[in-house]
Amino acid sequence: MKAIQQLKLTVQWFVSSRNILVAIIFMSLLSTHILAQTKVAGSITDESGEGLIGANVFIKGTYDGASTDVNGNYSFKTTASGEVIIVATYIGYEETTKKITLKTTNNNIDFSLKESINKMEAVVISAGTFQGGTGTKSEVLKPLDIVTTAGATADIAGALNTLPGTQTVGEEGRLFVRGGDGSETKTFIDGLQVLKPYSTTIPNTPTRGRFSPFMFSGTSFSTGGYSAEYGQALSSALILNTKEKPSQTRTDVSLMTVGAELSHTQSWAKSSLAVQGAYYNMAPYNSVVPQSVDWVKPSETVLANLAARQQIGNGGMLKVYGNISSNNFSLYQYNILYPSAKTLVNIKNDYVYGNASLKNTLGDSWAYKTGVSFTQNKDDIQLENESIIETTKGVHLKSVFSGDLTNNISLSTGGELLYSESEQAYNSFSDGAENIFNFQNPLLSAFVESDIYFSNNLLARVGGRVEYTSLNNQFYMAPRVSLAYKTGENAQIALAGGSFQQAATEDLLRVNNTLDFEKADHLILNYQVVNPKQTFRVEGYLKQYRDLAKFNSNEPFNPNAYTNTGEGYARGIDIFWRDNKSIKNMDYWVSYSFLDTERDYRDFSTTAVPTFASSHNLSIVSKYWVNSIKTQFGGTFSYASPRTYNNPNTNQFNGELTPSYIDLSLSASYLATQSIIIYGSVTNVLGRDNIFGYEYSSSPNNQGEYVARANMLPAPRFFFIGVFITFSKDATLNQLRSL
Amino acid sequence: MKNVLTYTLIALSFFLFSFTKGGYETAMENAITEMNQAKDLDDLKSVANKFERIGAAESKKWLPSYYQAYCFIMMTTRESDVTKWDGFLDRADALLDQSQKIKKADMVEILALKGFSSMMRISVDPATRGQEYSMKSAAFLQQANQLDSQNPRVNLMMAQMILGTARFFGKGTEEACQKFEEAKFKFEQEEKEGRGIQPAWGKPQVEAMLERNCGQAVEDK
Repeated sequence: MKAIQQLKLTVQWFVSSRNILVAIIFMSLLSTHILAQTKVAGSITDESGEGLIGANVFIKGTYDGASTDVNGNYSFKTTASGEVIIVATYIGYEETTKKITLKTTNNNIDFSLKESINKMEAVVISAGTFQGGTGTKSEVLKPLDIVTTAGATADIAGALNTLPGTQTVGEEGRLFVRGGDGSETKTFIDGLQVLKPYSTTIPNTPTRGRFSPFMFSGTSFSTGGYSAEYGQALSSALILNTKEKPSQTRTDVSLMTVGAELSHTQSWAKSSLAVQGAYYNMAPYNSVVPQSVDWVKPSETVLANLAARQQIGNGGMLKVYGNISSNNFSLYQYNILYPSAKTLVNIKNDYVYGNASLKNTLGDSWAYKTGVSFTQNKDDIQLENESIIETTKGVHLKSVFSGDLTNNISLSTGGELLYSESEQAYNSFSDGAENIFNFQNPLLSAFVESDIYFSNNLLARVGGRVEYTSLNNQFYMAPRVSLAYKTGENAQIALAGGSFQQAATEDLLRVNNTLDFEKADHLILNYQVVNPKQTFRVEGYLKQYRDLAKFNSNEPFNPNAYTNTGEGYARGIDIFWRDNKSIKNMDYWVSYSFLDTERDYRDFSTTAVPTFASSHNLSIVSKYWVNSIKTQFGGTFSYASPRTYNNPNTNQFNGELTPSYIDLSLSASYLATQSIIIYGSVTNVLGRDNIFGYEYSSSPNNQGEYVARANMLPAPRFFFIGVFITFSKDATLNQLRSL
Repeated sequence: MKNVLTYTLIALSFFLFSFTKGGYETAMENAITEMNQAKDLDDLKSVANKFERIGAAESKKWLPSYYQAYCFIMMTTRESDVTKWDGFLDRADALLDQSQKIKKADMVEILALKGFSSMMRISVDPATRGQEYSMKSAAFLQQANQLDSQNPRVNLMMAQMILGTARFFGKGTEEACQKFEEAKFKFEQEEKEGRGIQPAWGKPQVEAMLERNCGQAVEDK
């Protein structure tokens, strides 16, 4: 408007001026002035000289500028003059500026833009790790996959056991990774270690994780070569990240054949609180489905969960989580040699886990994460003439600072205090013997790690950690290096290596608390192609074990018989193929692992293949969505080649082989309405009697032979039916709730 | 002659000075017109660049980055390769975060766009993103609705969400259609008041949705 008024004034001034010549001169001046606008032109290319289409170029502080054409050329006129700053921008490229003095005639200014490091698109460290829920290209298994995998019965470890690198150890339920035993996989929640992450069970009954997969938005399962941030894990790290602040107030009810769960989530603008209570009782199930175990009182569990979130400042978050549970059961155990002799066993487990973590930003490019976790586990085992009470406590304090040193180099560094103590109190009522074994292990550690992007195609991660324990006043160094190179738009090759260590298991440390750390060196080579709906990866690895703890089975309570002279190796190839594209509404993945391993550890009499290792493992998981009936069907087939077991009637240690393991599990999830889901599953549809190994009598019979008993599940099949209901103010929010 | 020249120069500098001062609205008006007429991806990119230029010169105005974000969200509708959508939406979300930090930014409009952006994320991979992003989108829209339940763009987005849910469960579209009608009414109210360079997009979308899902012919202009 103002402009028009000014123009009017100018025109009036002309009209009032009687000298028409002056007006003509003025008009010509004005027009020449407009024509005399400076022209700026040039091209915008990428570093290879290829023209960028639709890039933006303009003079800072003015509206003057243009977009590039199909050849990457641009041209515009400007009234600006003198010294100006010209800016060029393009999505996915670094903003570039040039300071120039405009010439009155033509200005030719070319830009060559540098591709910005886009961490979503760039090469990622892939060797050893299966990412989930991160949204990045390396994502292999999404959180939803855990709950919908048939045979996994909504257990995190159960679903991860369908990935390559794991061995099916059907009677355990824990994660056995690449020739490592179950204690070599450690669980971390929001970066903080969890002790005893699995519930207590009787032998030959697979355990379950204590934490619901619904709690987590991201899962990173590393089968080796992981970041220096994670210590005290010899073979594998399971890194679980809890969900951010939920945005909806809701109530969930689950009714299942094994119990019931009730949870409520209250969401406010900047905070939220979720509480969950659960009760599980296996008695009704066991009365319908016959069990080979002589239960006196089947497993009964009471559990409570609490999760609170508070947003702090700009992007900061405080998370508090607590889990408390109590579980008890009792049964008769039968003697192998004299099957009529039975012992009553009462087991009670009390568990408390809590963690609090705070993450926030420090300026524009730095962030910190600090947290504390606490675990307390108590197993109270009462036999007719004996009592064993095992107590484990742990505290983990950790602070991590991370940020970008430059556009291409990021740094992460932190310190940790890990304290654990363990006690076993043994009482014999028959002879009055009383023994207490215990240890305290305070462990201090620090780590530093840097990601260096040489380009969007080449990334190196270099780091290491140092650990100190006052158990034996020793320092331990663990260097770690990873490299990843993008060989195509969706393909990359990666290499990782490093040194890993962990304290000996608590049952051994309780007898001899000066045992050295056990160590493993990993070397991993990985190739993967990740298309939006298809993933292929193949990984070869080599793992060398050193300083494994050993003891003599004849004198298990003699500390002097404990040494760190054990060693071993594992090598193999893992192959993974996932396809969500070829068949409409069908998602399936195939995992194959080949493993060659031998070790000498614990009470092994010689170097042998451990009983948990199988050479060939195959899993085929499929999910098929039938839209017309709103139902997802799932099937999982698992095969594991024969495992070794030790027959004391022969001379060869671990010299015999079990039959192979085969399981076919099926499941169906029916989305009844927006807020009701009905889920059913059955394991081992074929009803095969899988044998995991043999247990032998502790002394020979009259014929001088040790008598065998097969280790099998208490029932060949497990049936599960559940109804999940969500109540929420806005019914439209419940669609696609995870099945 | 000398005199005349001096006057001329003074007048000229006044003219130019005033032009740059009042130029913001004119430039925005032009860009908005161009945006409404954009036919393909290149048009949208070019107009997004225009908003970026205005925004770079007017750091205290929230509208340029708001409109630039809108252009990036609309790019998804002109790009058949869904794998490219995240790039556009990442940019849009960053721009909206930038816009909402500016004083006097209209949070209702920004939240409506954030809801829109989250909704488009679902389409990239509905099976795995459905849950997360439908929750996110609903949260943005609810927040916007609490601040101003009369905003036609918030109403349009909520109607879209109800329609998506009904479709998924194979239910009737009555509820969604009623919501689209409400949104249409609110657009008409808004049109009477006039919007200037304030956000006014959405009426053609409502009409298209009504035609496609609720059996209504588009009114003659």
